[in-house]
Amino acid sequence: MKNRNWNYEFPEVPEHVHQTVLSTLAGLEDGKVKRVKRMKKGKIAILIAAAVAVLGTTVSAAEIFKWNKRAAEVFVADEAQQKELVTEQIAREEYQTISDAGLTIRAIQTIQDNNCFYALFEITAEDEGMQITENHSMGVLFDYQGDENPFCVLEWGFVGERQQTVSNSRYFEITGTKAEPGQEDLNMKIQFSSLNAPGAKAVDGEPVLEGNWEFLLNLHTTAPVRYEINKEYQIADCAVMVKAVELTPISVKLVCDMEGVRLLEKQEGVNLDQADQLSSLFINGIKYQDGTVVEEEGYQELQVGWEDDMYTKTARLTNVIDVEKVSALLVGENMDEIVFP
Amino acid sequence: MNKKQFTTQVLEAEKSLYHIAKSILGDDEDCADAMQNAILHAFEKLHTLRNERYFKTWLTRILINECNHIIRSRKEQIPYEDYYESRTSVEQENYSPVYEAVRELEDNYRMPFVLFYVEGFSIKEICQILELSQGTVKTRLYRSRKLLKEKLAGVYEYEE
Repeated sequence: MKNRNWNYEFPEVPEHVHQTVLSTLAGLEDGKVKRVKRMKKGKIAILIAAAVAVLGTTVSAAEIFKWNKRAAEVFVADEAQQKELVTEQIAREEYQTISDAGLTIRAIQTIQDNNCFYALFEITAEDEGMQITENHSMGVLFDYQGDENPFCVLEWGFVGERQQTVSNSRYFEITGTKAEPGQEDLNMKIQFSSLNAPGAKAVDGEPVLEGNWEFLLNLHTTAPVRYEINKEYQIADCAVMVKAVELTPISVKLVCDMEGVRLLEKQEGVNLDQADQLSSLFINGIKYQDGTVVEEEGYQELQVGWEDDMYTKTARLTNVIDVEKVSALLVGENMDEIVFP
Repeated sequence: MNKKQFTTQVLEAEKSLYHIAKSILGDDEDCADAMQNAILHAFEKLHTLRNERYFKTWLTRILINECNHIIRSRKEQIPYEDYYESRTSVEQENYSPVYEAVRELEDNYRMPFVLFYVEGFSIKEICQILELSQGTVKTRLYRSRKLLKEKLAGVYEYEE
């Protein structure tokens, strides 16, 4: 009798129960307990819109650790890192699917922190003869549920044909850079209104299918780990005072004194005031405590700014990192080390 | 155990916690309430956990207490007959015949059965969770097997 898989006979964890567990865990604070208000079922029903959950409205704890393959490729995360990011609530699988006007849109996964945002959708035409290419586009509107638009850059589009063959179904990605890296949770409505034919140059083509596909995302923002450094480093042979570094598994923020940065600017012969880039502060890798170096594959700068004699830059990391084991940032062509205390 | 380890272990136990809460309460809203309260209570009392190996057993015990608390508070608010009716008629979903049969077992028999056969706890662990003697747990498991066999006769080829 014990050999029978009784567990299999029991219902899976419903999505709204799972979300309650996640929000409760997110509300825990070291040393104290913060009671979070649990959303009632009606509210959850609104949250998941007219969603039909892909896995029968349920998701188990084990299943939450499985990332979509495309998302894993974009963020270069192995299975352990994927699990870690789900636990940290940086990555979340979405279970919202809406069908209208012969088009089904499925929200698959979101990944976000205090600096950047990524959402992956799959868009499928019921007409199997329809070919959705990388040049198709979606009419889409964003609403932040009464909050200010947190993004300074928000881009979206179908994935390239080198990543996915053309068929009636195609991944659609939204990426965002947050204007003011903060720790507020992100409440965002994404409303698709049409699938558009390929247009000329950067202009969207005529709508092929029109309808209403509305998704609500309520995403927790995990706080970064901040190192107060306040130490001078030799970067490209210039003395640069590094004030602080903030790390999450997917992004980094570097804060330097402007005086040293002006020395780098002069040495490189660039002009920051004319939006030139300072290559000696490109974050080209990280070093772990055991000496392992992980080089960045293609630098993904998010923002650069300076005020009050303080220079700040944020970048998305091309490989997910284990924040607790990082010992240094490697910057510029020479991979100069900014060692953490 | 730090917050991160606590979070990981709770998520790993999530399915099991839900099954146990579902077995006692039936209604998913109540399950969510009980799970939330159990997580908060466990985190608050984490310093009292002497051996991290027994985290799941310890958390399960807390969850069952929370479930019982919810049942008691519901009984105080509405007549027991109405509450029982609401419990048995919640969410008309297509559950498996086996799950339905387990749900129809009396509370005394259902919990040992779920903990042992569905969630894989040992007899010793069940004794700790339910605060019962080994003899009582074994007797209730034997009785629950017998009752299930009767309930599922004709549904499945049933093997002891």
